[in-house]
Amino acid sequence: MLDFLLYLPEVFTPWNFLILVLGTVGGLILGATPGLSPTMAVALLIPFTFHMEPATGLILLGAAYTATVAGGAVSAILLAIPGAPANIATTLDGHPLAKQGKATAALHYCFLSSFVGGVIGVLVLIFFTPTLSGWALGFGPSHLFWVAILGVTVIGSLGSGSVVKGLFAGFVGLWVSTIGYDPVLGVERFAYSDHLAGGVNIIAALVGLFAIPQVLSMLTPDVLPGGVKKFAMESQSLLTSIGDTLRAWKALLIGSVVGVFVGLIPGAGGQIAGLVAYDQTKKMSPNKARFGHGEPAGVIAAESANNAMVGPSLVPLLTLSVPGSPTAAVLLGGLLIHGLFPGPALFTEHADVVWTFIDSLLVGQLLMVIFGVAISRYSRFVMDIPEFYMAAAITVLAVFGTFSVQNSFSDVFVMMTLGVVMYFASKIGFSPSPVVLGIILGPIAESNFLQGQMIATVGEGVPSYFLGGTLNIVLISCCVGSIGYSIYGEFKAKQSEKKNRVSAASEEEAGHVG
Amino acid sequence: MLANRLISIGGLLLAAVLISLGTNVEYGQEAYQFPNVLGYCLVIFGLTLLVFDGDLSGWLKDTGNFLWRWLFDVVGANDPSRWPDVVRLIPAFVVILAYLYLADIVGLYTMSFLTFFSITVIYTPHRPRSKTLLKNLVIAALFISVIYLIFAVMLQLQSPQAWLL
Repeated sequence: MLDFLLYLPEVFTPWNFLILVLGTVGGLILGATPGLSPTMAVALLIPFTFHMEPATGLILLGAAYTATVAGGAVSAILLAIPGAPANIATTLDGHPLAKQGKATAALHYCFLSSFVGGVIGVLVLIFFTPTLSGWALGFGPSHLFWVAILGVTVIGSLGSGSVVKGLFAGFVGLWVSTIGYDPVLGVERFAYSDHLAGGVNIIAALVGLFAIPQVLSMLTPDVLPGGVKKFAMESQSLLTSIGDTLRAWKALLIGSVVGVFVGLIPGAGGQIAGLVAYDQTKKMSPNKARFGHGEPAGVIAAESANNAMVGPSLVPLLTLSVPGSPTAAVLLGGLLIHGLFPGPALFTEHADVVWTFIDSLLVGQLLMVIFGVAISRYSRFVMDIPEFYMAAAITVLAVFGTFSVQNSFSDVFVMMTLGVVMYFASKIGFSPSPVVLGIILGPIAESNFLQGQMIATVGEGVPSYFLGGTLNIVLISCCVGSIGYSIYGEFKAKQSEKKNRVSAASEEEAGHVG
Repeated sequence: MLANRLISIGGLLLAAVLISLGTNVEYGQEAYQFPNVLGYCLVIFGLTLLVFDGDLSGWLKDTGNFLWRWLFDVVGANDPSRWPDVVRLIPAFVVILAYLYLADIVGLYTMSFLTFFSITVIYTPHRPRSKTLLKNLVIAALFISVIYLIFAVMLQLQSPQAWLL
């Protein structure tokens, strides 16, 4: 249980620590830039980690994940544009605070509460993961097959606007993963072009699906830049901010607890964590009326929740290959390219790598608050960078990142094609996360399915091997449950939308009569 | 003016067809050397005709103005009649396709520089002036220098053999 202390010094080796600092500072800057999501930032960084030691590479990705989520609050507070979906709730009170001339204070609250939430989240990761991975020891091929399918259905159903579209995207991802060589027979499948001969590289898929749609969106903005009002930064002592944050201990506690629980639910993500924590804090606060008008507790609850979610979102990822958020799904790709397969073996065969990574998340929280507070006053300059410069830079980075993995232009073509197709697909309501997860989990699902088939044919038969047994039934129930819950949620949302429309129409009619 | 432009464009197309016929041959490529030289000469004549008789500079200016209106003039006013995103992205797709196809012929870093510069020039919301063009050139050069330092120097990336860097 205390293995994390054993590997803590590894974080402080000069190279690892330098990468941690660079990842944190870079993540804060990327997070503060409107339009750059943590998922895309981590996806763009994965090719760089390919040339590093596994532990160092994961330190970079973990630092970027933590810092981009916290950095996203900067544009949420100063511009009312959330840097990432996880910061939507921060905008509600953060921006009114900035309007009242308390921008520095709001940024201090955000980084301090992110620190508290983040530390609690990583502690949950440290103490929960080995226990869960112990359970995963008893998993056979049929269970691992269902776990892979569960990952796709959970992200597809809970993480998307429409259940059917999410599942469709997830299964397209699974199909894409079958391009290339069959894992058992070695037969080449669906390689219609030379570019597809070796299958679809995970990095090409990650970069293409997350970065290119964002580039194309940046090139087609709805409004001209320069129309958003920016605020001067007042001077506020950090000690005063620490005092204010600690006085709002209830918001900190609610945010952290909600963040931890939402993080543990596969597919939920920081957006839900922030909004639920904000809502609960508002309900329990004696100053309900001040929420939405610059209440510090609103910022503190939202930010502690979205950072508390980061650690727990890695618990199902490291133990069962089921990511807790879209960014965790991208991190799964980062693990796999270093030959690290989630599960119990990860903590025995690669204990040094995985514990150094987890420890770096803990140390990263401290660096995040230090650099966050220091950088926040200058971060408004980052936000002045026009989107077309960002788009040009991301395009070039995406090409170099993808090319550098195998020195192959085929990967670059695949990356660009997937990205452009995803851009158009996103216009009609599809999201990239299920596709990516399908591509990542596809080989795990297929190889375990084929292995299970071989075991089953000499034993109890395929249907009873895959559908029988307590664990199989539990996993299948989880798949069905996540789909059913999402369908119910979608149905309820449509009902309330219809109700709102009817009441708005009747109010309008009454107004006309009056 | 229109007739002159059409004639010069027709001449250019004819030259292109002749060059294409002379280069896509399976055997005896040497025998086509002289006709190909004649074809390239025809291209030069066609271009000259277009510049002087067809008022190429005025035409490019008109086209540029049209493209600017087409891409940006109605953006920002929340005008529902603005061009759909797909149309506005056509220049980006052309630039990206050229980038991917020419990177291993012209040079990865050179094409990256040109792509960065083209995107910033095409998608800047203001009409480019010589000052902004220079600014974009400097930013593109700085960015590609950083990329070169990271990938070629630090990560020792082997870029494809090409005419330029």
